[in-house]
Amino acid sequence: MKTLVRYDRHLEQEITFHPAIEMVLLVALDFLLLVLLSILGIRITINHLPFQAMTWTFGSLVLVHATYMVGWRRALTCLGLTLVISFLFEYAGVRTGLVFGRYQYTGVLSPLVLGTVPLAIPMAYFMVLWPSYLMANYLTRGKPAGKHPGLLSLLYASLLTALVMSAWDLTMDPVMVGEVKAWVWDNGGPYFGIPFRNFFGWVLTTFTISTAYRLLERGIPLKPLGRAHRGFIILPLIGYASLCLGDLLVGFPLGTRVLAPFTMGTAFLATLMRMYGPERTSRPTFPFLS
Amino acid sequence: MPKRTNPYLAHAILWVLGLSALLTRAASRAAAGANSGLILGNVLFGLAALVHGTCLMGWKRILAFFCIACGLAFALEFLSIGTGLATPYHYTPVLGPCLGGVALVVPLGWFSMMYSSHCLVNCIAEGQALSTRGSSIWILLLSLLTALVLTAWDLTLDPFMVHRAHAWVWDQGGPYLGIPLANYVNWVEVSFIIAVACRFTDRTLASQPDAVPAPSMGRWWEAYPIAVYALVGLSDIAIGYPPATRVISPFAMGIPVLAGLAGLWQSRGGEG
Repeated sequence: MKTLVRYDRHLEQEITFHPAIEMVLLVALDFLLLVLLSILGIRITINHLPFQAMTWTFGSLVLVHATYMVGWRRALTCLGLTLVISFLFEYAGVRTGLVFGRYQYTGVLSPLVLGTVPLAIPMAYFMVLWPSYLMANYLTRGKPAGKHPGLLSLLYASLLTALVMSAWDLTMDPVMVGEVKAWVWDNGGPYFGIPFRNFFGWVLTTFTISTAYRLLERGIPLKPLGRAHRGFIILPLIGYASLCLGDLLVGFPLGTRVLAPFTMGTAFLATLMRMYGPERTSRPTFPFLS
Repeated sequence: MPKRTNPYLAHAILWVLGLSALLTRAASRAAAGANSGLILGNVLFGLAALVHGTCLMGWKRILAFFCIACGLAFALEFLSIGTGLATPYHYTPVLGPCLGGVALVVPLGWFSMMYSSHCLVNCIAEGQALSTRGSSIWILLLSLLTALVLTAWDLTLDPFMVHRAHAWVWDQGGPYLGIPLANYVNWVEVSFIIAVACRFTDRTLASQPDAVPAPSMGRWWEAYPIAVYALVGLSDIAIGYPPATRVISPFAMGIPVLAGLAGLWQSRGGEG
């Protein structure tokens, strides 16, 4: 098979790739996106959230996307770290109540691993972590992937990743508790029946995952399997936006419907404007983050 | 005007004004019912925004921004109270004197927060507090983002002002902590209209032959509106009411703040 060498202006480096592999991955991505948007259609038209189907479709889309964009080593590292760390936090959370507050999973999202955490939950972390990672990279550095020059800059991007990702839970948790009944908060809470500690736990978990991956990726070569272009980079972001749209149209309870446009929607629109807006190449560095 | 401005003096005036506005506001919110503090805080915020804008884009442009934001905010509030086209609400005497049913301090509040959101969005999208890209589609997108960023503030402001400060009353209540969902649709519409009007006027004024580019006041000057927006949002984490609102502003306001600061101080390095 013939390999080609091209300069990638999004990643700002030369890449080597096989056109045939690139084509196969692109077709797989388009197919998965189509299935994902159909699931969104089901959610909006018959107001039923097929959470498991959505998670496995979106998760596969994200895995293929990450493999294409940053190479299989980085993609598998990101997948592995996310699955392990999120499972550990969830497992400890259910057992001790110290991370998110006291809660239990019901059997709705079966099977449960070790009788505690549904198999789909770590995958659900991965499917939203990747678009959040891309968005935070665009918003802090103007490009989808790459190394952060310093530790503070890396932590800053991780904090933004954690906020962009946890914003999802503001509208997802009330639906999953009130409508899907996938888990139960033992003592309820002030935010639509959810304790504040849950959001602290979310930011902590996602910040840990993002920081761990960003530290590890420094030692792994960036070897894309195909050419990046904005129409391709945006695919996981469309999945993220579809979660926002679902919560806007059929969120539950009714009061949560006003939230998603201002949390997930702002992050999405801001990223789009960084992607398609003016190039900014010669900015001075952060005085305190370099 | 521009060359004679002493940057240290200007910075001192700006940050003292802004800080005293924040303290006044925080004190009055903690006391819940000190109406004069609420009004004074708003006036100080407005003054600080005028000082900031004068040094950033010159007095003509900030004056036009001020008149359009206040005028349109007043007109649209007046119409929605007077015509009953919007979900019915009314102001109580808490916010001081009213004209045509609209508390006079409200349009001023719209100007201050609109100005902060305007600069913040410019930092996110263009990396500087002053937008310099003139294409109409770009201006519409900037206005849409401004509308989202500004309305994000109302997610915590409105519940507080209704349930704790009792500054206005929703006649029929609503599903979002007692506030009708239509309120947020209206906020996005109104702030979008104001943002579009301000941005297109500003583009016209900036392209006048006699418009002298304002000297750069430095990055900390451009960061001031972001600081105001961030501190207003952070205060809701501690004193937001009903308590449910306390988890909202870190996400609704924290994301644009981090994105804006990063845009302002962005560095780009190659993959090594």
